[in-house]
Amino acid sequence: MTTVDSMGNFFKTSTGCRTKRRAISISAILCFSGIIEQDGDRVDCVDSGQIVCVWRLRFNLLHSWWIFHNAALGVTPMKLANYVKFREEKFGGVLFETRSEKVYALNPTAAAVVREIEAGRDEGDIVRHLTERYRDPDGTIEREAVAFIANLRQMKLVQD
Amino acid sequence: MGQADYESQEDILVPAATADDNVTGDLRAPLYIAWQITNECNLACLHCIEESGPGKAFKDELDAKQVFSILEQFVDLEVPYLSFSGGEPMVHTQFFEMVKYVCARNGQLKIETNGHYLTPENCERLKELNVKAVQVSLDGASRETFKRMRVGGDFDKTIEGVRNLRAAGVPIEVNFSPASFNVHEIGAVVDLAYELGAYSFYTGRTMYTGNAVKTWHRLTPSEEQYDKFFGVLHKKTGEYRGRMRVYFHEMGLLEELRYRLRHPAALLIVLPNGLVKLINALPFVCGDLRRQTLGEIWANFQNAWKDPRVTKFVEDLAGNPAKTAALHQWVYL
Repeated sequence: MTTVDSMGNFFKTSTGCRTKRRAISISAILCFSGIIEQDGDRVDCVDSGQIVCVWRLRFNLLHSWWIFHNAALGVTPMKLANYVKFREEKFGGVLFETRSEKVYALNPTAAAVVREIEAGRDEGDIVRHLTERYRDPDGTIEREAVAFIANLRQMKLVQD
Repeated sequence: MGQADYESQEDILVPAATADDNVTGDLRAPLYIAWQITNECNLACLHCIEESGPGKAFKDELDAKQVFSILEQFVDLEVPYLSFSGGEPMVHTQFFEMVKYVCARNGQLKIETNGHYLTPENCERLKELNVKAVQVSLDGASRETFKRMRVGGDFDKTIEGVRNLRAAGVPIEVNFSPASFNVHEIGAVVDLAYELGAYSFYTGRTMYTGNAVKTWHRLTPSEEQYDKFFGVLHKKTGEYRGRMRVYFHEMGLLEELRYRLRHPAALLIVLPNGLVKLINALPFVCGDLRRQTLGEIWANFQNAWKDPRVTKFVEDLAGNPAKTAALHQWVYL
């Protein structure tokens, strides 16, 4: 990955690890169990609000299942983080993270992924959309798009 | 619609250039515009590189019509990041209207201020308008050192201003200019910035230009003081890692400028009268927003860095560092 400091100076950084769908599922499970534990404590401790808490527990269980289900299918809604701006360029595009004042230069494929994120598509849709637009016989586009999205998440340039 | 061929790339984020290339030339517009919206200021700081102060507004500062016409160009060319500074930007009669214009069009805007106009009402307004950050200059951890640097300034008022920003929920940055009489407080100032809620802290070497030319003998820290100063900053960077970013430039001006000759920043400096400078530390002007479009100036900017006069000025600095004293004698490229 290449970044640029606040003065527009580009420099190299290493690319991050590649995300697999299994990693998404594991994180969803962790989130799922965390919510149950938290609400379980509330049910034990609060008498007068017990019914409300039980309902909240049920709601959270359902909500967590939905998050888990979507994450397992790779359909996590995504958008650029609050302080991230995207601009198209001839070479692809740039992402500017204005809090750290770093700029990331994107090649055309990466820029296409960011355009999809800006359009409000989730990860699964993005990959589908790109593979519809380009020939991808060996799955290269899918692999690279998934890896790129993982990088964006890791660097907190997107929020789910 | 038929499928296009996809050319596989080894690394999806390989950019248009590498670290050794001039990538700025590939951009269709600047990434950052630092606009000194007025030279007027309520303070007369010893080190001010713009020689701002009470009654120091340029005679030919842009009028409201020109200001908004220029802002419109910034928005149209999708400049992602802008800052308003001065002088003191908050004394500009159109200040809040300008902030509103940029923020309403999804621009990321930083305000660089001395903090004296950060009343609770103004901070609330900045929050409502959704400015990206407010950077406040805090050149001391005590009233005594602060006042020596910021002539006419009020330490307590500045601190109160920063607290008002925090109460309103505006992201805060703190800037510190070193002098012989305040460098010993650097650790305390970094701690104070964190306590006040800053998420970033900036400092570097004080430049020999503007007001500093007249006050250099009592202003400039010795190299020994700078060594200690940067030593503390290295320590504080580690101490606050993950909580507040501590940025500082140890590089001297000459090294910085030599670096910029090879790697121009994607940054334009706009003066209160619409002239556009190559970089603050050089006297060269590469455009005039009253007469040229931002697109034309951006094209000039690329060529201006290759102008032999710029290279010569930088190399002459090696033999004569005092050349920076003439930064306000603009040279048009």
